[in-house]
Amino acid sequence: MKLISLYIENFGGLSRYELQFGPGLTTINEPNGFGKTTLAEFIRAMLYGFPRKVKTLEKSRRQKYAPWNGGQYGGYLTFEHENRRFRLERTFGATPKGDTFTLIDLSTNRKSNRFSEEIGIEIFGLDSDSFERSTYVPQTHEEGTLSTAAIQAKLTDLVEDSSDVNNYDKAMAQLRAKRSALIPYRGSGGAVAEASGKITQLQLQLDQALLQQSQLTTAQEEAARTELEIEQKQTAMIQLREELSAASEMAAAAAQQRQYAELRERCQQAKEQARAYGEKFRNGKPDLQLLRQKCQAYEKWQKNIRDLEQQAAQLLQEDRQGRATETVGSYTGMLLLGILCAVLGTAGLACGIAFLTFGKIPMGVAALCGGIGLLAIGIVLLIVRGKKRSAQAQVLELQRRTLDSRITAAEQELQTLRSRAKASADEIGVFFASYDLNVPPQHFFAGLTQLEHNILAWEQAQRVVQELTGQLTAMEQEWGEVLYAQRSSFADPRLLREQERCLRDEVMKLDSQLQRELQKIHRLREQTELIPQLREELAGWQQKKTEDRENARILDDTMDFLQQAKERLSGSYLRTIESRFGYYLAQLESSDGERYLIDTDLQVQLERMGRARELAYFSAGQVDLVMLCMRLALVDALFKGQETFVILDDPFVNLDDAHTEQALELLRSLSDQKQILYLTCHSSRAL
Amino acid sequence: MKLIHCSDLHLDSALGRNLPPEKARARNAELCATFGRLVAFAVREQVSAVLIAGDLFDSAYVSAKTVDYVLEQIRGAADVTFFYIRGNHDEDRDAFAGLKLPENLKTFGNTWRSFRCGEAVITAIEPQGDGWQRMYDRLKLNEYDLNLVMLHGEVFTQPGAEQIALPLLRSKHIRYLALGHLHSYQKAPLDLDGEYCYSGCLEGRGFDECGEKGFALLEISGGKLSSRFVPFARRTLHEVKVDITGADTVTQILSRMKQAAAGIGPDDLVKFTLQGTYSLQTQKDTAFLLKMMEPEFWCVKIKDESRLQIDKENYAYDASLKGEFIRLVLASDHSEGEKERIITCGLHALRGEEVAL
Repeated sequence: MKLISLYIENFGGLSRYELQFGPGLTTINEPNGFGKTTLAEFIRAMLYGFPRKVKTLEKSRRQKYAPWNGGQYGGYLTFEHENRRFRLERTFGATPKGDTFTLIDLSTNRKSNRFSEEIGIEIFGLDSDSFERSTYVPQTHEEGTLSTAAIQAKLTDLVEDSSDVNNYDKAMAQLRAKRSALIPYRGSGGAVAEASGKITQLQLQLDQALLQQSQLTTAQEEAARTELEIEQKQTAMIQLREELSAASEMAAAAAQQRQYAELRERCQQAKEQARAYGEKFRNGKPDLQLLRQKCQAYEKWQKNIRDLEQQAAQLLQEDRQGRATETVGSYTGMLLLGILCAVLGTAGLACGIAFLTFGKIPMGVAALCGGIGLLAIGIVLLIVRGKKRSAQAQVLELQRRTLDSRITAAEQELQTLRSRAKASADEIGVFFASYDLNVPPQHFFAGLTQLEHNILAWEQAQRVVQELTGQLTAMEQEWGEVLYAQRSSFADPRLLREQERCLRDEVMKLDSQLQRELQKIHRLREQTELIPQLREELAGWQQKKTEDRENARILDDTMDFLQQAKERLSGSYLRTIESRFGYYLAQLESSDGERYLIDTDLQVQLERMGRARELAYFSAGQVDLVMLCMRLALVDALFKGQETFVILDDPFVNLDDAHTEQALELLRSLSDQKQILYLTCHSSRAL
Repeated sequence: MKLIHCSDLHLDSALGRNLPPEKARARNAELCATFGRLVAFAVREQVSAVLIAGDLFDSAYVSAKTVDYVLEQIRGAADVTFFYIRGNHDEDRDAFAGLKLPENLKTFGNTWRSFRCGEAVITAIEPQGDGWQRMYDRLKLNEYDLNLVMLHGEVFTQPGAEQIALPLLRSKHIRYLALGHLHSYQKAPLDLDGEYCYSGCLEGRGFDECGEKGFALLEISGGKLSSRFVPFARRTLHEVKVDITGADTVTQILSRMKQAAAGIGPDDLVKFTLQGTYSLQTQKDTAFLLKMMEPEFWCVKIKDESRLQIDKENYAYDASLKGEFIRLVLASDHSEGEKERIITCGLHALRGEEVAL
């Protein structure tokens, strides 16, 4: 493709601008602000149009180059391709819809379908961005010496969509760091290893918890069995209590029946007793007062009889005493004293005589006198006593007669009383006998008491009968049929109570066993309840590990692809770049002894004095020239022999005069082979 | 007379997969607290009975504190009778094993058991093993009773384990079939006289349980039964789909997310699912988006289902490392998802941005 001319109706700051391209070098020496970049962009826009999709992140070129003065937005470009001339017209609207594209074959001046709107791609096989990056050489802004790596990066950058000169290395470094953080290239550690460690740890915990879970299952089964046993025992206990209740009821009924029977028996006995007493009083109740009077009368008579009998006895006693006194003994003292005195007197006489005999005259006289005295006293006493007894005997006789008459009278009265008393006693005895009492007269009062007692007992018996009958009636009313119900045999409540107590003890034991089992369950449960959490954590870590591995794989693949891309990119253009670079460099350098080496990383080394040296050893001007050669070589490689043009936007501002001259000389020599649009703002650099 | 029909409380759930640990713990406590609120509601509204149609607990491993809490709540509401059957989640082991149950908690076993509760007769079963084969034939209900039957499982045309064969429950004189297992409320006729109802869970736990959650409140009066859904969850879960196609900056994506989540309360849990396509130029940093959205709701998750849109044609003539890289990746044997990840990863790295895996 060869550019012939262009006409800008309106594009950015350029308006109604026309430019004829020379066959080789076209120089535009215009001051700053003329719109050299706009001009380059216009050529691009003619070939590629504006992107249909406006990318928000990028400032829309359509907006950026909209005419400053308004008017028709666009222009045309005349070019020659494969020996045919075409005029490419484009106008741009506010949106892609407003764009127009016209291609006119200038040999016929008719519209041509030779190329579509994608004319840039169709001719160069490159998209808009690639075209721009290769054909448009901007000013170099690098200061100082460019390192080999920087030049290499710069060259790489020509085929990269970034202004960052080191982005490939940075990208690879970041990807490698990311990958290393997941799975290190060397040594241990990394997120995957951490996840593995965590997984092992959690698995161990989980295994332990699951073991406890089986223990828990066993414990729960045991607890369930114990519970069942408790339930069974409690059921048995309830049954036993029911039995006990029934037995107790039966026992109570039996007791009631027994009580009733006893009461009836007592009532019967009471009735019998009452009837017996009633029999005694079949003639009615005795007049106890009358009976008492009679008894008292009888008693009085009896007393009289006893008085009389006593009186009579006393009289008889008196009589007997009177008689006894008369015969035995009144005046016995006198008699005895008289006799004693007579005896003593006689003895005195005898003693006196004796004394006198023996010559003891005084004493004999005394004894004779005493004896005579005593004898005289004794004789007197005996005479007096005889007289007294005679007088007493007469009195006694009179008294005896009186007494005898009184005794007789008393005996007669006694006789009368006795017969009356007997009649009374008989009457009373008959009375008693009529009440079935055989009471001897001496016990009439006891009989009376007995009779009274019998009456009381009879009345009491009647009352008892009445009371017991009442009780029986009440009992019959209260207990009713229970008293007559037939009783079946029933267990002994005491035995049942004992059984219930045993059961209760067993239940209590089982209860405490259950409590222990429940405590164990509680403990195990606390440990097993962590299982879901552990499982979840485990699943989380396993997922993380899988994801991390997957991420590491993605990173590895990304790095592989990036590296492949870079190698392919470099490789596919390398040969051309190398030969063209050498060619351009030969144009630039006078020395033929220097050789340049370029590897797949587009690293340039200069072989000087038999030794490969990195570009770092060269001056900035030299580096810029090398760079220019490399750019041109790259353009050749990219366009694969297609005839094309290069737009140089004042690229030699860093060069000194000597190098500038060299560069310009290069351009001049190249202009024979290549169409060059050289834009500069300074006459010193103008061609 | 009022009754509550609830199910699928899933107490002691492992919520770590859906929530960060701290929130998972808090949410678990909330699940318990919601049961407490339900009991308080029952007492306040003089509800006669609470039917818990299975999955009161999430698994066989229930913490002692949760069991104690539940039993204490039940014990404290002595005037309310609780009827509880185990579901597929809590059937393996009886969480109440070895514990003294409150008088007002009625449990069931492998055979049908009925309790009279006011005008209603509540009948339920926990079919064990192949018990489901015989349970339909063995269900005998008095046609003059107002029968409420409680089961746990999924309604189906054929009988089976954890399946409830509706055809076999028709003409059985069931007025209300209280079901558990499905986590969303739904009610439909059973036969001419009866209806079946899933109360749904009391609280949503994961983002597969979005929307209003609560219980069914039944009112019985003069032989008539009516039921209605009562929203009761402490928090609601929402899944919000956001199409990010054409949004190239995080600000634009955030704006779309906020727009899509308008009307959702700050106490709720929200999962944003990013959908649509994005280009290589799109700023789509989910970690950043998450940070920006987190203060808006109690819990936020972002799931990125958006697809990188790469037009091969765009890179066919791109003589750059990026173009070469993309061409190589696209031509490889990797799955589409992997290609997308590798390209995103590589381009982030080339742009010098943090590589998000």
